[in-house]
Amino acid sequence: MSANPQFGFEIEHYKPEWDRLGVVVPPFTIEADPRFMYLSTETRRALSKVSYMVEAGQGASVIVGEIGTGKTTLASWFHSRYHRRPDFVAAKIDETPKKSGLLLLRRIAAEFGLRTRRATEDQLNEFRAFLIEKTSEGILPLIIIDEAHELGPEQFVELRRLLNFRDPRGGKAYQLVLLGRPELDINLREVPDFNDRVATRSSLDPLTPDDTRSLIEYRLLAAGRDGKQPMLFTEDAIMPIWRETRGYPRSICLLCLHLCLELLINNGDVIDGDFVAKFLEDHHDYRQAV
Amino acid sequence: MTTQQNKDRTSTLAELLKDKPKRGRPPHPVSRQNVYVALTPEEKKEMKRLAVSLPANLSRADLPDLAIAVIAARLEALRRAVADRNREIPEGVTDLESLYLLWDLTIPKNQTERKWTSIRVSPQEAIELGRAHGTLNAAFGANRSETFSLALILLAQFLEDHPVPETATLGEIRKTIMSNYL
Repeated sequence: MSANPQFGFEIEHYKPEWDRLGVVVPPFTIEADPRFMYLSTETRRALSKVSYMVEAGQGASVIVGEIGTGKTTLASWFHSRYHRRPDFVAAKIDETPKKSGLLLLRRIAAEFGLRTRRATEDQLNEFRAFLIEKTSEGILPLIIIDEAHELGPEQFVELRRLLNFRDPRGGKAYQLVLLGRPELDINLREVPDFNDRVATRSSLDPLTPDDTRSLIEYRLLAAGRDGKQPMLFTEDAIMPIWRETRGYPRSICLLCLHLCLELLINNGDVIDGDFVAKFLEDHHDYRQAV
Repeated sequence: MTTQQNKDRTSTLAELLKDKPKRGRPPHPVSRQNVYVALTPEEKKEMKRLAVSLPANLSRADLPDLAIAVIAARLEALRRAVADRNREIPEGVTDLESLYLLWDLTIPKNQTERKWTSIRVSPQEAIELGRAHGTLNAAFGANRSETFSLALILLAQFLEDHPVPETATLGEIRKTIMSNYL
């Protein structure tokens, strides 16, 4: 295997010594991990409003955000929190089947551990029976659909039919959280029957420079760094990072991951403004390095 | 001087007191209780501003009762909404600020120094404040002052969204609060 021209080492065999940074796990992974979810004001607003609607049995909630703003992490958070609660059963759909309403219902059924059927009505009957069983136990089913901007009109029709099921309190029996890119809002306008049933809409925006600093500090703390240690990222490193990433959390994490790796390679102690500027000058195409 | 003239003449003391604004605590059918809270100068200013927007027969002294009535109704509505669940506050409301976000309130900047002051509240409102404080303390570790600050902001939001008639009494406004949120 040849050495990576960006870093001058075999990146796949490289094992960073994270403990030198005072952390026990990599702090800037770009996978959706709810343990590392930084709660910006917008994220907290979305969490509080959507969780209220879910627990109050209000039906459908929508969260929109550009690529890399933390939708998938939020979806994982909802799934992990509600799935472990005794009064909820949660199903998370990461990738929706194309166009077909029945296929979507079958995917949801499979996530709930239900039998999948060939006919839409049979599948809906399965959902009805499941609902009767769960509501008798005081359990509310929650469906979380990530990448919901890919849903087609026929799929919204089937979701609307699920929303029409009622629990004994008269509330909506199935709770639905849709997360997707801003196109989701446009798609919803084309299905007014479903759109009218949306109880709350939230949006995830890119972070401010202050939030960027807080995200970096939070990630380092969550990865095990002692808060009493000197700052790994100095104050003057924040603005160049924010400018380069435009405040998108995933981009911030990717850049910070590379900065940390560069720091370890150079046996450095601190990431300051000059370090970030030099890194961006030398490795302007760092995004392609991994 | 005739007897009739003597009858018409009021005493000097009564005459002196007639047009003077009354000093001290306003009279209430049920005596109010002192509750101590720490408020920022901004919150005190806000209380003055809200007092101006109250109907003519209510004064600044009635603001704490109204603020507590609003927070009690909002928290009760929250409890009812998540009734049948195993929590009083939804899962995603992770801290006191999340509650501000849930209710579309501006999160206050706690940079200014708080000073202790006493507010006077009716007995029922004193109980309601204690209950709200208990809920928020158990959920987020909020203290009584933070609970009252939230109540004040909720009252400001209520008065902005639902202007009260100029002749409304305290009881009528309480009823409007309850019918709006519960």
